[in-house]
Amino acid sequence: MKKCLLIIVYLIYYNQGFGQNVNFITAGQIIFEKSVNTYPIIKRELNESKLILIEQQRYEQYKKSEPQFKVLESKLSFSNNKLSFSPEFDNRNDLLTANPAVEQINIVYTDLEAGLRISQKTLFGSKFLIKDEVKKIEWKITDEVREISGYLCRRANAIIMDSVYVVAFYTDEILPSGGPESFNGLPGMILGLVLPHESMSWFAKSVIPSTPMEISPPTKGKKLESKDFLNTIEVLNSKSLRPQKLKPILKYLLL
Amino acid sequence: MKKLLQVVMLLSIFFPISAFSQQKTTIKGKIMDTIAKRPLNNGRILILDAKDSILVTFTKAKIDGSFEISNVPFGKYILLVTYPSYADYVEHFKLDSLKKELDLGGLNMVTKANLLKEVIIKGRNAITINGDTTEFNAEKFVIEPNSKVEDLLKQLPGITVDKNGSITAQGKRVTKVLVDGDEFFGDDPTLVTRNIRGDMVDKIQLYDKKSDRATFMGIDDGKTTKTINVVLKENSKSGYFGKIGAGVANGGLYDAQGMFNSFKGKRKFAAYVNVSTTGKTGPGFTDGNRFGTVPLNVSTVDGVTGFFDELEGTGTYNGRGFPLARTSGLHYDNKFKNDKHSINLNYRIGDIRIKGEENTISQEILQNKITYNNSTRNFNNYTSRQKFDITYQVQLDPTWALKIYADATLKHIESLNSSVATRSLGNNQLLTNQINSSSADGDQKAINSSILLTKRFKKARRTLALTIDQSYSNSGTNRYQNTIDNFYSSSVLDSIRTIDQYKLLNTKNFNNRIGVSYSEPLTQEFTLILNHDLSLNNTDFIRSTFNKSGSGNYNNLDNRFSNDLEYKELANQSGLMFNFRKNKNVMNFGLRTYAARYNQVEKRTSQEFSRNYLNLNPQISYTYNSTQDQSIRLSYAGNTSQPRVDQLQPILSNDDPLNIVIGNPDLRPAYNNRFNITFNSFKPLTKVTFYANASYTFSSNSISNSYQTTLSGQTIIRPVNISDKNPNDLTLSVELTKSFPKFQLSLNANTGLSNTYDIVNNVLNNRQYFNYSYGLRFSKSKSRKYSFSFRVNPSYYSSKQSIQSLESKNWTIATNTDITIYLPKKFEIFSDAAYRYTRNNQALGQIVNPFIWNGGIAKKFFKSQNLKLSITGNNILNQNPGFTIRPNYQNTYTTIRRYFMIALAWDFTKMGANK
Repeated sequence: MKKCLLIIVYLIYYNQGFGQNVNFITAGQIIFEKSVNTYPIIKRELNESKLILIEQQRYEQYKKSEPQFKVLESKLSFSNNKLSFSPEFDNRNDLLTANPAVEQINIVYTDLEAGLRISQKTLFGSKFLIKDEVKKIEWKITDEVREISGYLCRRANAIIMDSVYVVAFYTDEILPSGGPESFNGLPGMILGLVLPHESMSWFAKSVIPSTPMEISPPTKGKKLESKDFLNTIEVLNSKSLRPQKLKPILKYLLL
Repeated sequence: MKKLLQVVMLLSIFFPISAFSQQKTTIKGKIMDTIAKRPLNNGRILILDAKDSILVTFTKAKIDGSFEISNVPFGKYILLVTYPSYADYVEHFKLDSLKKELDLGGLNMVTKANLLKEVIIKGRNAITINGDTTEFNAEKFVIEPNSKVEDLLKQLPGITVDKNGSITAQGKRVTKVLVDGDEFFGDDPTLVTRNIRGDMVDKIQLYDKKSDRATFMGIDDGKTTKTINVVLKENSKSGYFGKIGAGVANGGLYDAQGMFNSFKGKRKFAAYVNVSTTGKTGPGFTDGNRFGTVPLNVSTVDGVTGFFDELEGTGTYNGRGFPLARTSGLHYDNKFKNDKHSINLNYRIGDIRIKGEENTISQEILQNKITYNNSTRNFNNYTSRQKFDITYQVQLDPTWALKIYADATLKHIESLNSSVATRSLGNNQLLTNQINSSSADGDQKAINSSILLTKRFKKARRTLALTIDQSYSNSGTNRYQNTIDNFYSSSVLDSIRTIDQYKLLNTKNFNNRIGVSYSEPLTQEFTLILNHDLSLNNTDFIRSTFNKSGSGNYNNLDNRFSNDLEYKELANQSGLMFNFRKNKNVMNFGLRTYAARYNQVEKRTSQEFSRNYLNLNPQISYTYNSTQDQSIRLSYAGNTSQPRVDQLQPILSNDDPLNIVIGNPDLRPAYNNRFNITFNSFKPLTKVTFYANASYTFSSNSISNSYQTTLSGQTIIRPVNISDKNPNDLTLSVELTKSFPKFQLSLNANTGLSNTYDIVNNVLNNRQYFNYSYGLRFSKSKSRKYSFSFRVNPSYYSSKQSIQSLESKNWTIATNTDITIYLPKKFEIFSDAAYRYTRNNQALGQIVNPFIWNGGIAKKFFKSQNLKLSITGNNILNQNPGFTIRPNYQNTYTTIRRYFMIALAWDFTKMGANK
């Protein structure tokens, strides 16, 4: 009788677990939402400017008429080792200044197998096509996880360009190592990316898996070597109607 | 500017060239789920730098789970293997020139569910525990179409529902079932559980409801009622639904019921009608407290007065005799003006007639001889009641709230009783023989009202509450009594005593109470609660007893058995309580005092009796909530128990001439001590609930009875204090329930040990009572296929008396098997079988071990299966269950036996969401 009771008690406490089959995603589309807190960005820019009073007035005017958070949509299509990131629409006209932080200037094509990247950048009204190799980011892996669009993501941190702090959340359920803009290099897909000190973030709004498809690189634009890129920007800026101070916006151009 | 650009140029070269790391190694391994025995294809293998966890390189596992990473420079690393919904695998390792290649071999991965049993990551679980509320998510439990809340409750772990619809949860009886937090037809749980549809329910909440006052002050006064709150789905709050059913059976038995509910947003309206001769169907007289009759004993806990309510004890059907019950009721509740005003109205009317016969055999000790009592009683009782109640609540402003409650009851009883009772010695030597017949009819009117005004201050936990309670009741009874007692000595008729009287009883009770409570936060953790009540109770009790005069009319007043008594009690109740709350700890302690002046006047003789008394009630309780789903509670309470007035000075009564009660004016108050420990735990992931409770009570200076039996068979009962012995009671109970994916299992064990003392013929008698009972319940169901449950309850008791060497002990095994099978074409068959085996009671001889089997077949019609035709057999084997048994006591009675019923029931519903 006692033995029988013990068995029953054991049965009650014993809990059998079962593994699940995971369907890894290899192809599909991810819609990202880039959110930019415009006020601190414009404020920073104003601090660099000499025309304080006029700019201050424009800033106050901007604060009255424009929302604090600018939300921009973009799409990342991927199929096995090829990925293409492109803005959904262009909406730079309503901005105070032509600030690349509040714009989406890049179409980024990545071939992970070949380690090749082709970016189309739209700057000062002209399109440029830059061929490059895939940049490697030194990611620091953490054990923090959070859910984004139904996928459990792990956090990784990095510092790029010596000073820009990046927080990324990636999921290992999506196989290609990609992400918004040119961010990649994690063992899965980046679904969330935050540049905390730059007041901007990208988060996946939806993930639509699909069958493998054709991903093609951008072709339009003036071909440019990456080493000539900065020089070209400087020349273009000096020729433009309203030359800007390049230092504060340079990092956004390089993303 | 140029310098800056050069810097940026350099920055753009992110790839660190490891020009000097020529010494490299290859790492190999294979990742597997060892429990499911399968490779984890596409699992990610990460190599991190041990120093700063920077990702050095990573790869994916191949289809067979294997992986290989080459060209890893020498160094210290962390291996991190990840796979969706599996726990991370982490291992530190070192690469140096000693190994050309590192083979990590098979790496075992474990699912999170296995590893993190205590952690709930996301989603709405089937069961959650939030503070003292257990919440069941109805969606997670599958129920049949058109089934009711009761069917849902039956599936919830830790909750059992018996055949009468009474609910037991976590070892306690559930007395309140609310709908969306509101009362629904007062306190009759079955009006919710057998009326509201299971598919309308969003969740079921189970908790201990505190008194209004305690809830408002945010303190715990230890007085709680187990409550179930049925929370409806949003889309089930508009529409109507109900049920109409009727059935006929052989032997003139029939049942009919109708229910209608109309919900519209916050407004709920409901009505029902019920007629039954089987004693089975629903709403009505299965619980005596349901009608909330006004208790005639003036103060329940502290008071000293104690009267017999002439109208109590009838109107409930407990399986004895043949009933005819008719009940009907209306309910309305609504909220207005942003829920600031709410109103709740109920009206119920019902009557019941029960006819039957019962026989009682009991055993008693009389001067070292065992005597046997055997009585047979015929009864025909009729009760009708009506009750109307209204509750109105209003939030006057953000800090002031008012609640007004009022009810009115009308009650009428008629009863006819006749009995024959004998008392004899073991060798059939007759001692007494009594023939008794009585008839009575009575009426009662009662009104209760209560006002609660509360104020919250800006400072948290600073509150003020004012209560005013009033109750009034008036009852009158006419009773005819005819008793003939034959006394024998040595089996020869010795003397005869006859009582043939008419009695007129009138009780008027007026009760007023006014109270104020105040709570003040002393520190972040401590709260002080002060309260004071003043109450005044007035009772008039008139009893006129008339003997039959020569003319055959009852007009000779019998002074001995006539009274005109007036009772007055003025009481001051004060309380000082402290509440301590910090993190997981809650503690309450304090003292309540009850000081009263009691006065009693016999108006006819001007005899006066008065006394003052003081009751002390210290209490302390401590609760530790170790996790959200686990708590332990320890408590102690002591209270003074005053002798009742009828113990000090009873009203002389000849209602029972064989048992004469005399008073004891020297009685001193007794003091009771109660200790309790309760442990509650629920593991959401493994679905294990565990409940354990131990309680111990003892009394000093307890008030007990002294029994003095004369040889002629009369017993004289006199209350006395037992000062050198402390009666005590210990109970232990444990309950364990586990829900498996496919079935549910629950176990419980209860042990009780009690010692009571009385004096039998000047000798101190210690009655010792042990009982053990165990229960095992197994249930398994598959929606639209079958449901099965099996229960077995072995129990054992033993009872001993120190003045008697004979020990009475016995064991019983009760089993219950319920099966419902859903067949194709919407047919279903059901059967429930109960067998109880009791070993023969040594003292009382042969016992029947009945096997009660009910079963039937039903067919549902239409797409929504809302019409049901059924044929049911009740007690198919016709084995009479009509008996109860206790140590030295056996009671058999007439009851409903085998019948076959054909019944038709129609469920109708129209909800907002179904449009």
